[in-house]
Amino acid sequence: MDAQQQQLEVYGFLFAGTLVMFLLAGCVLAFFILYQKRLFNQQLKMREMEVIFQESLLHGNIESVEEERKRIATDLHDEIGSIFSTLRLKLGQLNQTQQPEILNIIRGSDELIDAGIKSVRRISHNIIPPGLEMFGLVDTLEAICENLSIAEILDANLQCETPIDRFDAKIELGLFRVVQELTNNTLKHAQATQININLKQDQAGLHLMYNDNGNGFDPGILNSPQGLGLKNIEARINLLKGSIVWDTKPGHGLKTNIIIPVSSST
Amino acid sequence: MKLADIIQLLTFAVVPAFIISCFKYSKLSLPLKQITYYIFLSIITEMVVLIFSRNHWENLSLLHFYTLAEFFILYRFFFLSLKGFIPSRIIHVIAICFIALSSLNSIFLQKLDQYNSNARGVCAFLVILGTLALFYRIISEMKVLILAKYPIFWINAGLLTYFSSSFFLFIMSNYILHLNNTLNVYIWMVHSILNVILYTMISIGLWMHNSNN
Repeated sequence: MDAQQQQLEVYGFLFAGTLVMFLLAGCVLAFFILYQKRLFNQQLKMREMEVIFQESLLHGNIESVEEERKRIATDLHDEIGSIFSTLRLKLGQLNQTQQPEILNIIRGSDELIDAGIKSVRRISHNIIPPGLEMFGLVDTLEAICENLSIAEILDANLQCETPIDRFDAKIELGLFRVVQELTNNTLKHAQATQININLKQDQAGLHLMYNDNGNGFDPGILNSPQGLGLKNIEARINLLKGSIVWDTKPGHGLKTNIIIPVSSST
Repeated sequence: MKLADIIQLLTFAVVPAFIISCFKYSKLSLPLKQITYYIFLSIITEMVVLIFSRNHWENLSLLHFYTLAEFFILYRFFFLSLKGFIPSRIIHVIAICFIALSSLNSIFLQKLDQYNSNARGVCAFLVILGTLALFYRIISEMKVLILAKYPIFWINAGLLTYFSSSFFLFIMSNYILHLNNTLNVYIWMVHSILNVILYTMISIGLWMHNSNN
């Protein structure tokens, strides 16, 4: 009887031990799964916070650059412009003299003042587009195209496939800067003879298609230090929660499709 | 149907894992290939055991060789899976020590006509350590997005469940070998169920593998 009891105890211990070890393994697995999930979620949150922080940094950077540009443009226009105007008035007072040598000097100075005023206006308008806030993106882009065509640098066209609304000032300024950077790149590097800009607005948002018939480039440049300007364009588009697709290769021009999710501000 | 018949039926749980191993073998990574060798070893062993039992031959000696082969395959699996995480030298030294001690155990302590509970117990303990180390690697590296789609997770979970649950059985099997036949059948029935769990988890793991893993 004792031997049987002992046997039962041995088997009882064996069954119980097996069960306990099985449950322990289950607990280890459950702990592992839960811990991994928690750790992963935590890491995901950290990454999200990092992205938000970087975005806000970029946002702040772009905003401060824009504010600085605005300040410089205003200072140039108001201060240097008014100095030139005052100078012209002062010279006007000297016009009463009859000495031909002095009159010649005055005429020459007047021409220089004119050139100075024009330069200040051109520089300040380049820094901050004057018509953007008042007339909107379409008119400003049209002005860019006109200026390029008038200067006979190349043939630039803007086409609006649908009526384009007015948008938030940040969106309009952002897109203007993108087109400005793209045209600068075309002028500097592409040796193009034509630029086409198409605008279209639908439910997906505002579509901006920028094409040139220039040299194109290797899309791999986007990941190199040489592609800083292109990276800036991407950063601005990201900031507007939009997307950009580069379709280009050396010798085949550039096609860029930009989509910005927008809601009109008017 | 007798319990012994059910136990024999449960040995067929290895068949799905064997079929998946055959189909997926060429696409598997090196650590997972070791698991297919483990499945092939299990199939071969089951067949040899069947032949032995049909002819009423003593098959306990097979277990001594099976233990060495099983350990060698699992050592390769953990060595390849833990490469760069645990120094290879440590894993090699443990493996060499185990193989040497297990051989000595079979020659001097628990001879071929006895159950090699010492070697089985130590083997199970080392496998448990390996699985825990592998889980720790997965957690610390945080490269796995979805555990359920990660083959190593399933296989490691199967190994942990089987070897930890069978640990007591392995170390006590020599003691209970001739103690009570009826209760022995029950305990081996439990072992067979654990085997089914192991092979099912290995099957899922191998099935989950695709070339992107």
